[in-house]
Amino acid sequence: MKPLISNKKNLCFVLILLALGLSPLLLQMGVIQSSSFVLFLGKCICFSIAAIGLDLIWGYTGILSLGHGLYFCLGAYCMGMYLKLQATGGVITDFMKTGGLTELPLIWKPFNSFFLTVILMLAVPAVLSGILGYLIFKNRVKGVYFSIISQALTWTGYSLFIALSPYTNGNVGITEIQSLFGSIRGSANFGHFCGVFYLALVVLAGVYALSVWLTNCKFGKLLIAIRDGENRTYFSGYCVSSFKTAIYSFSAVLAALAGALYINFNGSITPSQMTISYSITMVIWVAVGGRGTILGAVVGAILINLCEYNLSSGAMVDLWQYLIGGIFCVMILFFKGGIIGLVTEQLPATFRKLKNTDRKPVRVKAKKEGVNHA
Amino acid sequence: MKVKCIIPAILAFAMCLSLISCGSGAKETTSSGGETVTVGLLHSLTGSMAISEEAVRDAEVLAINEINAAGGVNGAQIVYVEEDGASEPSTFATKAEKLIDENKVKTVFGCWTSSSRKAVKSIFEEYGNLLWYPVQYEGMESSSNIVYTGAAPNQQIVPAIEYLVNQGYTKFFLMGSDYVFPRTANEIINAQLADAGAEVVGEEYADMNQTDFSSIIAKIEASGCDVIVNTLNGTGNVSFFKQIAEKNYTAEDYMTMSFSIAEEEVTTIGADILKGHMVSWNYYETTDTAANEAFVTAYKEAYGENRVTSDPVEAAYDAVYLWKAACEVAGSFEPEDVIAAMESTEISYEAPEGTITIDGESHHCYKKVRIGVVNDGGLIDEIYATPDAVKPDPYLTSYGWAAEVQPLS
Amino acid sequence: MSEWITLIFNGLSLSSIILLTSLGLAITFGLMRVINMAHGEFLMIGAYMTYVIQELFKTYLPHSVLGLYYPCALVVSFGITFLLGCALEKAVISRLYGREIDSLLATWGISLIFQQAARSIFGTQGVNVTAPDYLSGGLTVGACTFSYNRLFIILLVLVCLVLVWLMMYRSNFGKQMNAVMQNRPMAQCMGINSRKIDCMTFGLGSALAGVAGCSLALLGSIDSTIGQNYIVQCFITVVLGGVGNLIGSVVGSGIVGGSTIFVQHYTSSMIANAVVLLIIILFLQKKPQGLFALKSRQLDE
Repeated sequence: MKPLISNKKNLCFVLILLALGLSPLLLQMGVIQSSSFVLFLGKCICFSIAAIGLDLIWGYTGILSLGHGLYFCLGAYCMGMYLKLQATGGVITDFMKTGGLTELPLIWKPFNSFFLTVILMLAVPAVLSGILGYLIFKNRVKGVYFSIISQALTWTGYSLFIALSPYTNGNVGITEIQSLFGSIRGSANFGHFCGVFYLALVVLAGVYALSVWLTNCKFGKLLIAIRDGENRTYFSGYCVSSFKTAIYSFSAVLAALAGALYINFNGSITPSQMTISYSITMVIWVAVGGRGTILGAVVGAILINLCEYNLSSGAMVDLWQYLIGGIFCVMILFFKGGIIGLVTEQLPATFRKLKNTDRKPVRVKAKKEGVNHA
Repeated sequence: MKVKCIIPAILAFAMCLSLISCGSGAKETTSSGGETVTVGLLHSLTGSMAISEEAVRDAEVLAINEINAAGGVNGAQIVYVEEDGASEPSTFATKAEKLIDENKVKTVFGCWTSSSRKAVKSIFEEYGNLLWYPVQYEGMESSSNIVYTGAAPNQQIVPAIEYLVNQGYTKFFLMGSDYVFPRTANEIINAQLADAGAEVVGEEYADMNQTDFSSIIAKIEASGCDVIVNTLNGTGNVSFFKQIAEKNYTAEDYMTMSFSIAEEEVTTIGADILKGHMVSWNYYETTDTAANEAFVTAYKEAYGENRVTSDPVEAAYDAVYLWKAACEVAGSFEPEDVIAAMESTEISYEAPEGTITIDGESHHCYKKVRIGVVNDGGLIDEIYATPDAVKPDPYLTSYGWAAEVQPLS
Repeated sequence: MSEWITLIFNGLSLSSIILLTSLGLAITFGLMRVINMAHGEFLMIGAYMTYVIQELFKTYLPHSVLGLYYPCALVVSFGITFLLGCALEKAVISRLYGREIDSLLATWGISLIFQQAARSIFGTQGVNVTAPDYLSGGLTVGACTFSYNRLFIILLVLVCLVLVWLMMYRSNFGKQMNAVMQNRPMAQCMGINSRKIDCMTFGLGSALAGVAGCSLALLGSIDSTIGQNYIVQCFITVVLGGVGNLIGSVVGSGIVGGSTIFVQHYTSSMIANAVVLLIIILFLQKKPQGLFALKSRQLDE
């Protein structure tokens, strides 16, 4: 455990975790005025979990998935259906009746049980991504081809969820649901809110620890090896495709977990989280935070969402669109390492350069003299 | 070499500044002196729904400015806080919560799509706040914390189908975008037509962003229908009508009855293509009342001569005035007092479409139904209107044939 | 019989639209390996240019020449999107060669900016373009009607194909372009100004998108989100056909367009969307490099 704390990035994460963990208490004490802001922080926690998953495959393995919204939604729909069925007492919901069904369809039956819900919530994305990943990676589809196929995948999912509206309620999705612990809004339900909030926080901490461990052990080194030289890894005798499939599945599960927690805060889920633009938004979080560091994913997800929360209102709306586009472009062009890369590498390098500039002319002079002497 | 370092440095600095400004960005300025009351506006200003929602937002701002100029509500000036829903239901949910809890607004005017309304519904209920929803919709819903100033199905869809049946149309083709309003509307229409003895010869749903309608048009040709009931929304309408026109079809060949085409859509599609087609609403720019004349003039003055008013625009404008009337009756701005006032007394307002009254029981409005035809100038002429305002019936309980489309109790 | 003719014509027409929109992408993605997510926004710019030219004609020129606005708009769209494409290449893309995935993300940012710019300039509501007289309506033969507009698009895409083919394989510029794309250092050694070639090639790809946007203006709505409706379909088409050659894109768009119309004929459009995409995804498992992959012994394509 000791090296985890001594590492500066992990220390930084613990600080973020503390700040997040304290926020409900500060709210209770009246330091933070609005409970909706703390609730939004809860959503940010979920986003960071999804971002960690994305970072594992993009930042560490070099596979850019533009379709993680699909897995996010799968998790959210599973949890959402459980919560919805809790509310209706396990009988058919309104939208199913409107769609012409007379009883609860078989696919939603298991979601009456919490235990089965949790298993399916993780197993469905894992199996789906496992099969897809196995096919795709075995055929050595890589780079941008994979990105484009993943886009097509999430688009397929989106079309299916809308076309099968008797089962999924089309583009309205599952709405009017309460969290696992009951209603979380209003001061009377503060206990429920804390329950959901700290549950999400514990999951985030667990996911972070697991991911850091994963990336530091041999498995993680192999992922980086695949990113930096896929063919060399092949030639070293590793079955690259199964490693890729494994990490792709793992990140899909993280996205599903994030979705399942998110719906507790949001109270509804719609297929619009499955659109391509939403999936790319997830990538933006990682890119801005800093790919290839778990901390970067967390920082990026929280920061971008907080900015959006505060900036996309009133007269700022137009500006925000320019700003987010601009930030994204500049980040990709000049700061490949994102915010984390900027702080840990680029800024120190600039400072060193600035320090050295004082001595530079002297050195050049000396060199010139040397040439003259010769 | 040096320039290369400076550019990123400047950009980084700019970025840091903008990030820092995040914290202080949203603080709104309240006008000093005098009493004020804060309300929220929640519409999509970006994304695919911005096409429709911006005009509605403009109407709300116009009404607020007018009320402020006339002395405000209960002596207080209205201050509005605006949020962008970004055409995404989850964002609507987040922003609704922010408005209610952080900005402490007394009421919110907002939403357009049914999915955004459904996403915020439980939030308004849990916080006990009040949402004014200005668009016609599919019904089968009522909430004590939402006031629906647009039409319920029995104030738009049902009378329009009744009118078509009376006109002698017998073969109906139902076409809509693939989402909740068209699906529910078509279910209602199916039940109604079965009761009336007319035939539904086809039912098709298009993707929300569909750009190619050739195969749907082929299906329409094959069905041999004499009228198309159109519940397409947004950009789909433009593509559909442009593409049916390029096959030389006019209203003579295939009459359409549209539920989502108002004056604004006519301008983007083109009056030359749409002329002669029927629509059903509660209000048109041409509606002949004194209040409407003043409203149209004010709207054009504020936003430009080429802007047009439409049913949702008018319903949004009415919403603000109805809220004002309710606050005045309640003598308070608190949502629970306003809701109580609405439920105990009849709140009504002399709207551009005629007098509208809130039905305290269902939180919908009494509205006149008007069937119209698009004219050469891009405006809509009324060809039929109900004599009185129709009582809202979101669950269609007064119609025998509607038993099976009603939701579970 | 007439039903089948209509079906085939619709398939052909949709294929031609897809081909026209993805032709530019076949150049920027296929040859330059730049994933231009702002491609859809160049379509949008082309469509808006059509509107602007139409309004200019309406305001400043006599009514009798109003019909000429459309050919004029084609030329202007081509020019404007070409210049914008060149500017974008100089400012952003040129820094991202060899970083395919990064180019995808950076151009996504650009596309957000373009969309907001369109909203700021033209408003959020859509604008209306009226087809000139000679393109409105359709040609009726027996029970089938072929719209002039769709016939025109088929013609336009053929012209574009021939011109691009001539330019790529028969002109000096095309030879230089192929040289740069295939072996950059060697081409530079031969005295080819590779930066200029890059810039021109990207501009050309964007300009083709502008022309496509111009023709889309007659078919549907013109608003800030129009590009988003096409972009994924374009990428799928190019990947399906196999990057780097024109014939692949032609066949790819034929398959996407034809199968979409065919499946739609029997089911609904959302199902057709899903089915066609699934088939393509499965097909790409069989041939990851697309239908007409360039044969290469290189390990890292």
